[in-house]
Amino acid sequence: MKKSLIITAFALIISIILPLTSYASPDMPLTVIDDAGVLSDLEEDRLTSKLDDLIKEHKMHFIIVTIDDLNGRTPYSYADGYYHDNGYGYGKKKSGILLLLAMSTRDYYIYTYGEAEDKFGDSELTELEDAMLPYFGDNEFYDGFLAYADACDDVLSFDIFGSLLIAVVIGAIISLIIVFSMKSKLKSVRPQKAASNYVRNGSFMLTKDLDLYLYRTITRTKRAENNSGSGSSGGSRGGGRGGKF
Amino acid sequence: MENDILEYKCPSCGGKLEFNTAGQNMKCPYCDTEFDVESVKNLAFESIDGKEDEFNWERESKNEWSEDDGMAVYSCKSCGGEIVCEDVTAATSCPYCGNPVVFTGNLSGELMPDLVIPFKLDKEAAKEGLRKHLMGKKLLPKVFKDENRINEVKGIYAPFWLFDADADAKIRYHATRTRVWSDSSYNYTETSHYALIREGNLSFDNVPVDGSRKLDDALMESIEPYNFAEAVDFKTAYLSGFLADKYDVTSEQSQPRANERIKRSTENAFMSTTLGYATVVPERSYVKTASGRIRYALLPVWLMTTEWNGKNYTFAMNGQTGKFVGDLPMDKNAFFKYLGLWLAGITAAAMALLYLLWLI
Repeated sequence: MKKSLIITAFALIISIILPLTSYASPDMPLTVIDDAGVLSDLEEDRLTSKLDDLIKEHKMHFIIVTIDDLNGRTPYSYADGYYHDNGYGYGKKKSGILLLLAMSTRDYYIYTYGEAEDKFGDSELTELEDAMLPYFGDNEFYDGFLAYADACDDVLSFDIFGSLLIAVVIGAIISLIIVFSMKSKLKSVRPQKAASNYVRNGSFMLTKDLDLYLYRTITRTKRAENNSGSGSSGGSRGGGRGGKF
Repeated sequence: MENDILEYKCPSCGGKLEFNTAGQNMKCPYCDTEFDVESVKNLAFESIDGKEDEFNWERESKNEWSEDDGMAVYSCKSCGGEIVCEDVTAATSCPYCGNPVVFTGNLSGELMPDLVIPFKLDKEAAKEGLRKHLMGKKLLPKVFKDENRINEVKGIYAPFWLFDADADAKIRYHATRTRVWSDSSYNYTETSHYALIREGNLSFDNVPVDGSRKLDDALMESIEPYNFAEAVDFKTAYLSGFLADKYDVTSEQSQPRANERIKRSTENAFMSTTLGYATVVPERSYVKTASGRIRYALLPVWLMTTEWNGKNYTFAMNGQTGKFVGDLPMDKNAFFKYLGLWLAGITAAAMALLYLLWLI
């Protein structure tokens, strides 16, 4: 009966929290800009509605841009410019993630800003690349974008199994400590180690007290190379990375 | 000119030290450690290596029972327990196993106790002590709590040897202090090694050692301490209405335990004078007792026994202070039930917390 109580309490907590997550419904920005024309109209619609759902759920903008040519700009500068010039960005932090594909040079760039810059680190960006690049390599752009959107969703979603594993480990450690402390209460017979209860009060007298210095040893270890995090270099904003597909 | 023929041992590795003319100090040819000459001399002078502890004990009074005391010895044919009580006691049962005891003789000529701490707590207090002892223990089998399983509550004057002594001790510790600093390319750790010599004395009064084989030593030490300020000279009258156990471990046989506890306490007391170091490890200690005196005392104990699943459980209460001890059996099902409940509860709470953290 206690167990069911705990489950009910847990369900109650979840039911209070869940509605909070999807209350916001901001004006939807343009999310799929297929200037290179790699998607059919139907594909574009489907992708748009998928990205719109992601925006509602994760409170950041998801934008996919395809262009023919970078016109001499770097993929980063193009993506950065596109993002800010068009006023993308969710909330105060202007959070969002923009995927740029330049067809002539086969460049891609994943641009992150605000909240997205924190959430998509190196390993998360690798997850996105691993999901989409095989499709792009075969020129299956629609499937690649879908895979990319799913991968974004995975990265940002609550990792139930991972969290459950951590929770079970925490639960196991703490519950074992509790139950073993309950068990230790059953034992009260312990031999005495010393006789401190029977030392005559004030009888302890020190007659000799010598501290002799003997020798010293010095060890040294090389300090770790001090490469303070590379991060964003001069003047750039936002994060992310790109490459060729 | 001082001509040292003394051999100095390296405090670091035990090798033979040599005088190092370059550094004007002592150097170990084996581990290359260098030492201050004065330190090495002092250390050798204060050496206690190879010295054995000396405990000297003497039995003080040797009063004996006479026939006028009217005390009788009964023994248990079942477990071999021997008890002492007034010889008017017609029949009684063994406090250890519950079987009847038989009269085997009177006590005349046997050693009489020097001291006794009279019972301060009665049988009702002992029963209350047991009730409290079983309270709040969630893993105790329910039947153990519910049923009144206690065979009989018996007050026993248990035989103890009391050891008084002035202990002189000398202890050597190896201590270290560390300092860390760094420059542009390295981190440095400097460890300074010291030998600490402490010499002093402290006195012990009435270190008790259980003198009965039938009473478990650990059980008897668990209900310590007794307050010996309330001990009085032994009079037969104190035994009236109670049983007394007859000692069957001699004072000589009890000495090693007393020595062990006195040595440990002495070491603990000295350890408190070695502050200010990062590590302090005792290397050698030498304890010598003087004016060691052993007395024979009877101390009040309430005993209860019960049987559960074929195992005997004995409880003891200090008849002076009320300290109650006795190991209890564990209900394995309850253990796993609580483990499961806590595991489920804490896992759910941790999961909710992780979810909240993810939301932020």
